[in-house]
Amino acid sequence: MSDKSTALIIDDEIQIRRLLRVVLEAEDYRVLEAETGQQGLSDVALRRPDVVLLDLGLPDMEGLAVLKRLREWSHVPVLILSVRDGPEDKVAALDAGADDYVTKPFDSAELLARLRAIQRRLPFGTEDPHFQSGHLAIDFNTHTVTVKGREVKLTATEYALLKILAQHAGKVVTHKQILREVWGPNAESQSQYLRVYMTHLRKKIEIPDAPEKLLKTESGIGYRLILPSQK
Amino acid sequence: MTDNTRPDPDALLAELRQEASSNRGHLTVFLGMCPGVGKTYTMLQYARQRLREGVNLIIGVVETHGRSETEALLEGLPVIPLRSVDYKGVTLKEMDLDAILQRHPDLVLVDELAHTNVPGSRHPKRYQDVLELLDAGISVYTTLNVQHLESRVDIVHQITGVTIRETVPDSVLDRADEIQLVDLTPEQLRERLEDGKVYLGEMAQAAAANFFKFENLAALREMALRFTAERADHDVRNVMRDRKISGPWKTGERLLVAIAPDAQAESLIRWTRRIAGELDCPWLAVYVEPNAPLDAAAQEQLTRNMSLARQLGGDVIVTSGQDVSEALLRVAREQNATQIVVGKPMRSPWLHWLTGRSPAYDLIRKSGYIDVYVVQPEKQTPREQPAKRLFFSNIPTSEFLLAGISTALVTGLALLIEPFIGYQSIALFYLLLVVAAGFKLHRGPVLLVAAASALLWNFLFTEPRFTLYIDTFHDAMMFVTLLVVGVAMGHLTSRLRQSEIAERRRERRTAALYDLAHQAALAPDLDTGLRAAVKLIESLFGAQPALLLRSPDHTLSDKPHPASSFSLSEKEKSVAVWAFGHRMPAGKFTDTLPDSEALHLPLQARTAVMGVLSIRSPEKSFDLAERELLEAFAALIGTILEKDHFIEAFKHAEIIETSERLHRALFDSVSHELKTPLAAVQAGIDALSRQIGAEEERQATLREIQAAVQRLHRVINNLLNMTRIEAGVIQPKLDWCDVAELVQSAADLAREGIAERRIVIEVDREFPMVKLDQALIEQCLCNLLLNAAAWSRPGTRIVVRAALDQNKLLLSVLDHGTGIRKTDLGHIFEMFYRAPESRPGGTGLGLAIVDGFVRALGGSARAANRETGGAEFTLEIPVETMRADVIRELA
Repeated sequence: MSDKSTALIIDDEIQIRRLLRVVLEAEDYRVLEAETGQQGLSDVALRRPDVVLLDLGLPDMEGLAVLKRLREWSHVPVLILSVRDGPEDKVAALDAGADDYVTKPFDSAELLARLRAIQRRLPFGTEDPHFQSGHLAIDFNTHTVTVKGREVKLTATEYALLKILAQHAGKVVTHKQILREVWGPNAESQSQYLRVYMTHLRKKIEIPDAPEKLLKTESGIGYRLILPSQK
Repeated sequence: MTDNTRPDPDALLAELRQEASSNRGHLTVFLGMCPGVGKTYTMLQYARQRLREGVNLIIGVVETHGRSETEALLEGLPVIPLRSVDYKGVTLKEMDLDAILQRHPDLVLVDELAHTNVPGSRHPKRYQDVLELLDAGISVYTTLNVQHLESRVDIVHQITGVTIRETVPDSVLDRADEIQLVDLTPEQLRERLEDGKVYLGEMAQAAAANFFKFENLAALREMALRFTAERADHDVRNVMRDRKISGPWKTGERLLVAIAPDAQAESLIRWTRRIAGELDCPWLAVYVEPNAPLDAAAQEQLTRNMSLARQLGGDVIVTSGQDVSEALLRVAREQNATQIVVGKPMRSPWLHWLTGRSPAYDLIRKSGYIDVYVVQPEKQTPREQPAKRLFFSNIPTSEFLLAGISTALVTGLALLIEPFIGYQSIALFYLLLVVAAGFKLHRGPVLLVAAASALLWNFLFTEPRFTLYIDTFHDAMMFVTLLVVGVAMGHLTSRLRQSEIAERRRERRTAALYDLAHQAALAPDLDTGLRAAVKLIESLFGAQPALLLRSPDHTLSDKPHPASSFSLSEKEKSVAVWAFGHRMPAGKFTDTLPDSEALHLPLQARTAVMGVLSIRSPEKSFDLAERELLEAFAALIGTILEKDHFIEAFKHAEIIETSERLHRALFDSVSHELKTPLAAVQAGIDALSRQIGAEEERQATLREIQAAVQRLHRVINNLLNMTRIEAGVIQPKLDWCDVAELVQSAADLAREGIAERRIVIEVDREFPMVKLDQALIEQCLCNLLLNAAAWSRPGTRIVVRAALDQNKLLLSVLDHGTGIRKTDLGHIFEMFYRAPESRPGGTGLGLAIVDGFVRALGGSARAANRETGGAEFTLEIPVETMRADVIRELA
C-alpha cells in the first residue's frame, strides 16, 4: 500500500536504471524511471515521489539545472548519483539543493543508508529531544552530551556545531551550511574556524581506538555524523 | 580666506605620507660644531648601549684617527671590513655598501656623513650611501659637523675664511629622525686641541690655527646651537600639527628665488634656504629659459644651481619667456609665492639694457603686492668663473667675415652709383644692408655692420669727404638716425630670430614626442615599435640607445633588444640593473655611478619598471631640455611595453580558460563512459548478492568479482588522474586542513588495499593547521600506502609521519618491506615504470601520480631505503601554517 516509499530514478543509462530498480525494489521501494531531465521534472510534479535519485550527465539538460528548477517548487529529497567525484561538483550540487551525493560506482548498502537518511522528514531533535548514535548521546533540552555514559563539557560553539551535525545525522552538511548556522551568514568563507573547532570537538567526542569514527570528514565538502547503520 | 589657526591640509597629508614610509630606517645624526668635539666618541657610546639592549648592529665605517679612547669603545662591536678600491694606482678603503645591505642589520654606524667616496663607488657621496641604507630599512647612526651643511657654507666662509667643499644637503638632515648635538665650550675645545686630541684632516697648520680662533669657535658653536634650536622648533610644530593643536601658525609664506646660470645664484639659493628654514615655509627656485641657447659652461653652472636647489629641498620650476621679470612674476602668482629673492645687480644699467637682462629693476617695479628681497650675494668663492663674454661668445668668425665682406661690397657698389642717385640715398642702401644682415647674422655682426655702415657713409659720402666730420645738420641727423636705427634693427631682428629658433626647437621636441607615440605605440607589433623608437632617439639626440627589457621572471634581461645600436659591457649591465632595481636614473650625468659610459633610464610604467633605456653619447652631454625629453621617452616606451605585456597576459589567460573548458568537457565524457558500466557491474553484484542468499560458494564468487571491479575502478582512477597531470590543468584548491584528519582519510581510502597491515599514524596532537589541497594529498598518501602494502608482507606495520620544517610540510610513509632496488630508485616515479619483481597487475601509475600531484603543489617526492630495512617515501610541500595566535584567538 502507500506504506511503500516511491523513488524516482532520473538517469539516461538503461543498465543503471535496471539495476537500481532491483536494489530498490528489494528494499520495498516503488520505483519510477525517467530518461531525461524534462521527463524527470514532469514526473516529480505529476507522480509525487518520496525521494529522487538524479544523475548529473543527462542528455537534454545539465543535472544541476534540473535540480535548480526542481528546487524552485519542490522540497523532495534528492540524492545525486554521478561519476563526477571532484569536491567542486559535489559542493555545487549540495549548494544547489541536493541532500546528498553518491559517486558511481557505488556501494548499494551505502546508497540505501543515505536514501533512508535523507528521507527523514524532520531533523533529529524536533519531535524527540533525545539523540543517539553509537557511544554518543545528546539531550537537546538540557544541552547535555554524554560519551559512553560520561558527560562531556562542550563550549557553546562546540555544542552548536555538534547539534547541527546531529540534527542532520546521516546526511552530509556542507562547510557553508555549518558556518552559516553556527557563526552566522557573514562567516561563510572562514573555513579555518570550522577546522579548528572540529578538531576540538573530535578530541572530546571520539574514542581514540574505536573502529569507526562518528564525525566523518567528507573531503572538500563538509562533515557527516554517522548513524550506526551506515558505514 | 585663509584661516590662520587651522592646520594646513596639505601639510597633514605630507605628514601621513611620511608616516606611511616609516618602514625606512631611522636616521640619527650626531652633530658637532667642528672637528674634535667628540661626535664619534658619543656615537660609539650610544651604540654600545644599543648593543647591550640587544640591537643587531654593525660598524660600517668609523674613523678613530688614532685616538685611543675612541678605539677602546670599538672593542666588541661587530665590524664589516672596508673594501679596497683602486684609484689611479693607489689602493684606498671605502665603506662596503653592498656587504652591509646583504647583512641587513638593524643598525649601522657610518662616520663622517660628508665624506666623498672614491670615484668608481656606487655613489659619489657617502650621504647617498646612507640614504640607500635607510631606504632598505636599515637604521643609521652618523656624525656631521655643522659646517658641512650646504646652506651654511657661505656663513662658515665668512666666519673662518675656509671654504668647505664636502657638503651635505639640508634635505638629508630633514630626513633625520633624531639630531644629537655634541656640544663643547670653546675653552674645552682648545684644551683638547692642546692635548692633541683633535684630528685636523687636510687642513694645513696655518689654516687650522686660523680656524680654531676663539671667535670662530664661538660663532660656529652658536650656529650649531641655532640649527638645533630651529630643528627643535620645527619638531614641536610638527607634533602640534600631528595633534591638530592650533598654535601660532605662520601665515603661509612662500619664497621664490630666481636662478641664473651664474655662480652668484648659488649663494642666493643658500640664502633663501636659510630664511625659509627660519620662517619654516616652503620655497622654490625658478629659472627663466631665454631664447638664446646657453654655452656649455653656463649650462653646467645652471645644472649645478638647479641640483643645489633640489638638494636643499626647494622645488625647481623652469619656465620660458622673453621678459625675465614678467615670467618670474607670472610664476610667483601661479605658485602663490609671497616673496621673491633676487641678487643685487652687479653691473651697470647700460649693460642691462643692451643685453636685455635687468630682472631686479623690472621686478621691483612690477611686483605689486609681492615683496622683493634684493640680496647681496656672497663674494665669489674660488670656483671657476666662466668669463663673461657678452657679444662674442660662440659666434663663428665666418659671420664677422660675411659682415665685413658685404659691407665692403655695398660700399663699392655705392661708390659706383653715387654720381647717379646722390649721397643721401646711399644711406638708405646701407640701411637695407643692415636689415638684410639682421635676417642672417647674430647680434654682434649686425651691430658691426650697423656701426660700419654709418661710419663708412659718414667718411666716404658726406661732406667733407674722407673725414668724420659732418657739415650740414641734415647729414648729421641722417648719420645719427642711421646709427640708431641700425643698432636697434640689429637688436630687434636678432631677438626675433632667436625666439623663432627657440620656438622651433620647442616645436621639434613636441613633434618628437608625438612621433614616438605615433610610431611606437601604434606599430603593428612591439619590435617594429621599438625599432622606430631607437631610430628616433638616434636621429634626435645623435646618441646610441640600447634597450634592455624585463624578462618573464621579472628580472632585467641579459641580452639587449635586437633594435639596440650598441651592446653593453658587463659593467654597464650592472649599472642598468641598479637603475632597474631602484627605479632611478643611473650612470653618466647622474648622482649614481657617474663615471659609467652611458646614461641608464628605467622604463617606468604605471605598475612596474619594464626595462632600461641605455644611452651612450661619448661626445656631447645633454642639456636640461634634452634630459627631460629623454625621460619622457623612457616613460612612453615603458607604457608601450606595459600595454603589450597586458595584452599578452590577457591572451594567455583566455587560452588557458578555453583549454581548461575543453579539457574538462572531454574528461567528463571519458570519465562517464568508463565508470558507468563499472557502476552497472557493481550494482549488479550487489543485487545478485541479495538474491542468492547466504550460499557461501556463490557469495565467494561474487566477492571475487567485486574485488576485480574495485581493482578496475582504481586503475581507471589512476589513468584519469594521469591525464589530468599530463594536461597540466591541475589547479590546487587550497584550504585549511588538519593533518591527522587528512592522513586518516587517506588510510580510509586505501582500506581494502592495505588489509592485514597495521597503519600507525604519528602526527603530533598539537600539529598546526596547514593550507593544502586536501583531495590531492589524500590521493597521494593513499597511493603511497597502497604501494607500501604491495611491497611488504601481511602483519607488518606501515608508519605515516608528519613534520614541519619552517614552512615545509614533510609527510613520510615508512614500511618494513623489501625495500627498493638501487637500479629502480632513479626511475620509481616515472610513468608506467614497474620494478621487475613487482606483482603482476599494477599499472605503474600510482607513484607517478604522487609525483605529479605533489609537483602541482610546488613540492617534491623522494624515495629512499631505510637503514632498518624497508622503504621510506617522503613528500615535501611548501605550505602556509595557521598562526598560533590565530588558533588561540579562536579557541
